[in-house]
Amino acid sequence: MIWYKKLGFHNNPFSIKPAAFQRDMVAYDLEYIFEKIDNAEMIFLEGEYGTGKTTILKNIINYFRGKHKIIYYSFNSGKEFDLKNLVHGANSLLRRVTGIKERDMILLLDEVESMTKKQADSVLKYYQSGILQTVVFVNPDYEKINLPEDLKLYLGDNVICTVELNLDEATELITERIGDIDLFPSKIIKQIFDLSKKNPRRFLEYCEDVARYAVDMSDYKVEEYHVETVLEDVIANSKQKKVATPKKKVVEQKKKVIEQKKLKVSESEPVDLEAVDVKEEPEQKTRSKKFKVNKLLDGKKDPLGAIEANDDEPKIEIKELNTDEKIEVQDVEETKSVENDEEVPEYKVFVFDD
Amino acid sequence: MMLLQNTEKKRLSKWGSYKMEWYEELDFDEDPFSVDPRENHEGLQNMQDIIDEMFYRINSGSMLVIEGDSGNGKTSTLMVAANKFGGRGKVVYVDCEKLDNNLNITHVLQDKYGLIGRMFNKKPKNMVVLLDNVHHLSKVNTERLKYYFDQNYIKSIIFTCENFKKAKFTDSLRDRIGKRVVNIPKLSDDDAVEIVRYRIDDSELFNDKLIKKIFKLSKSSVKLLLENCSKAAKSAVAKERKRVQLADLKFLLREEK
Repeated sequence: MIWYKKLGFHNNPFSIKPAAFQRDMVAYDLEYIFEKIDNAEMIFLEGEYGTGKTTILKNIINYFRGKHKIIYYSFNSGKEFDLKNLVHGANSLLRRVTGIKERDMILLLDEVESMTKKQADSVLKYYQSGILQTVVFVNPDYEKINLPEDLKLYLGDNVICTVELNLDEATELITERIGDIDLFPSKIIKQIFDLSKKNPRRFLEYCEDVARYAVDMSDYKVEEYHVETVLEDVIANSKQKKVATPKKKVVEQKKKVIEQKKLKVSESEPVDLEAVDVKEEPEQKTRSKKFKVNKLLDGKKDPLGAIEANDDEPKIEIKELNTDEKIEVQDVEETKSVENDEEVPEYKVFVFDD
Repeated sequence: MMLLQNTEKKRLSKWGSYKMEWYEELDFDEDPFSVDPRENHEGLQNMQDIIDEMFYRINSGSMLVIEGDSGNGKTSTLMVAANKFGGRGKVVYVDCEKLDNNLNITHVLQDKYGLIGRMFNKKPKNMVVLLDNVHHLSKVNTERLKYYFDQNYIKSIIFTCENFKKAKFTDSLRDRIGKRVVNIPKLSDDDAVEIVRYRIDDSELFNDKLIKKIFKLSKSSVKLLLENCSKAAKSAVAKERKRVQLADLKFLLREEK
């Protein structure tokens, strides 16, 4: 007998399907998004895999079904993106015959990463003409895509980032799924939550595996050793990966930027973003610059290059003296080595001739 | 042809009016080394865990990847699932190797509704999809699968492939699969002996050493092992012996060279 049937569920309560549970959006204020769509604003949904982008789309479809025509298109589906056809296909037969065009449609575009500029322009055109009420773009990363500037202006601050789970939301998610059954003590929830790296999909996946193991052992309360045996490799992995923290930091910084952007409701958003970006990574950039300067001097032996590169920041000027000294030493060494290299083959050649 | 008793067959074959198959001379009704994945499910050794896992994933509605070398029983495990869940028109088995690259997986899923279903674009619901040899599946079709899975048209998908990392899956599908990948374990030569013994009902046809030798020469693939056993037994019967000897493995040794 399957474990969830033992607990009295008909279906898998931890299913990761976006369509499985309708009111499941624990961490999100869906009303906020619906309002934006009602106001005919464009929206960009961004977030890591498994944080609920498709589930938000599913909710949008459910909410607006019957009120507006909804078109869903995924750029990974392989069909060619032909907006005219899509819009035409959404019209009912009567409208197609009479030639009256449907207005105020909602276009949902999934996996926008492979969208070309031309396609984006055509979307914009339809939006401006009022045939499309809103367009919802979905992609794991906003900054990877080259959207046209006009489109960016329309998007404005409506870049919504699907957020990581926090512990309270994770607990809420579990009670939403399994009700008041005392299967997961809060300590265990925290343990699994830590392993799932705040990703809702991973979290549900791990919960399912752990619950299954525990119930199959006929324990109706999950305990620590259940988690440890089932997620053994995950725990081992997480311990190993603790060394590589800098990546995580970058991600967190990015998210903060987006949140800041939401707060600042100003007109020239894209410019702001760039400005913030530059401030964000000063340490890394100076590091790489220093490195480059050294390289330049080593290779070209041009003092001019050094001066140009050092114009930007005063900090490096101090170090300039140090680096110059080093460089001289390095140069001498290099020339020496070159001379040696040249001598050796000549010598060998003579030997062969004899 | 009428079913003949074995003794009767033997009598007839003496007069030359009926040619006996090699396995019939050894008192088997069928080829004991058949490699048809649709049969011999009980003989799947070491696989009970994987089959249980597969049944559970199908029931609970998620995806599972079964990874294993060729000839180790991937298709056979899928067939076990097809047998168990089939019958209500909800299971689709697709061998991606034979699937045309331009083929749309949607049509495969809609096939069960026939022409009328396709005209009205009727979509299936809660299907169980068994996909064999996924590394032949195109990226477009994987994306379609993802969509159907998300929309609950497909309840669960079981993939099989030799190497999951090499399959052309998109990242979003990979994330949905997560760590739900099971590996069919490689067999030891003792397992091989057990399999062959199971097939020939502990008769004296092969001795253990010989089986191990054949297994080694078949590159640890169960499918090849059974095929080679069949050939060896055939050649032994042709020489009117009741036991397979090393001489019957000549063809194998030649191949190796």
